[in-house]
Amino acid sequence: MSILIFYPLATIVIGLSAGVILAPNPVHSAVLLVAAMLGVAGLFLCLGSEMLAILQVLIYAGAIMVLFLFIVMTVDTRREEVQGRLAQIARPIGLLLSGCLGALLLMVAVSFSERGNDTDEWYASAASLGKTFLNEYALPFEIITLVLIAAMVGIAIMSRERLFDRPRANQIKELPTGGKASGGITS
Amino acid sequence: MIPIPHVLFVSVLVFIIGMLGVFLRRNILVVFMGIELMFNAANLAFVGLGRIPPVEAGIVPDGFSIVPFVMAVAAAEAAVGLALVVALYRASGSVDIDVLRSMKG
Repeated sequence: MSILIFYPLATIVIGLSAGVILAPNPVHSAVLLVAAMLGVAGLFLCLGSEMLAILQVLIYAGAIMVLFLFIVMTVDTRREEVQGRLAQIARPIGLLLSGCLGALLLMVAVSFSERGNDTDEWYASAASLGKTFLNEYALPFEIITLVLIAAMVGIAIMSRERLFDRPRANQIKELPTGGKASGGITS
Repeated sequence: MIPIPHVLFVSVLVFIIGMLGVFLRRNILVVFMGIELMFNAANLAFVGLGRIPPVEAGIVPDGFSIVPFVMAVAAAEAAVGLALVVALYRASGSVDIDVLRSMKG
């Protein structure tokens, strides 16, 4: 059953991933990436874990990609990509490196011979995954919360103190002399 | 049912597509999307390799239980990275990585 879904879905995911890279408009790239994430969730389902599929939809397609779309639409990206001198140099090197690493990874993938009898059982159900997280993975589970909190605090500080927001020459003239700069931190 | 090399093959293809996006695109947001594709490919490889027998009943293979951690780190990375992109855009008015070269020595 799952083998009937896996191969068409894998083809769709690869096609959508190529679309992410090839689409000229970043908004289109983001929408295609949402579809690719949903396809990967389907692949997780085929591979025997409904919990990972749910997490993929919630975290990737839900949280991360909504953030991506929000930023893509905030930032003005409509102008064409200019292929300057740096891009001319980067293109052959990038193709060469990707080709080399791709060949290497494909050799590794092929070297995994078909071992054992694979069954259609659920490998990681929600219940067993939850038990694993609260028993043997309890410490990493707590550490990952620290990582998330550190990221949240970092973003809050970065967007509050305007570290990179240097006033430009024409903006300085517009500010009232002696007046308090708008948007400053009141503390 | 699904052979492990086939899962790894899909994973490698998605990873290479993501890496091509990182190398060839000039828009920093699309570069980030390539990185997200590579995260997904790594997750797919973890899940595929977690299916190598013998698998005991009721015990989650490590290849499966690592995936939520990767997702959490990817979420933190995306949030911090996008905050940096917005800060850079406010400072320079561009998201082209050829323009953002002020840290060059």
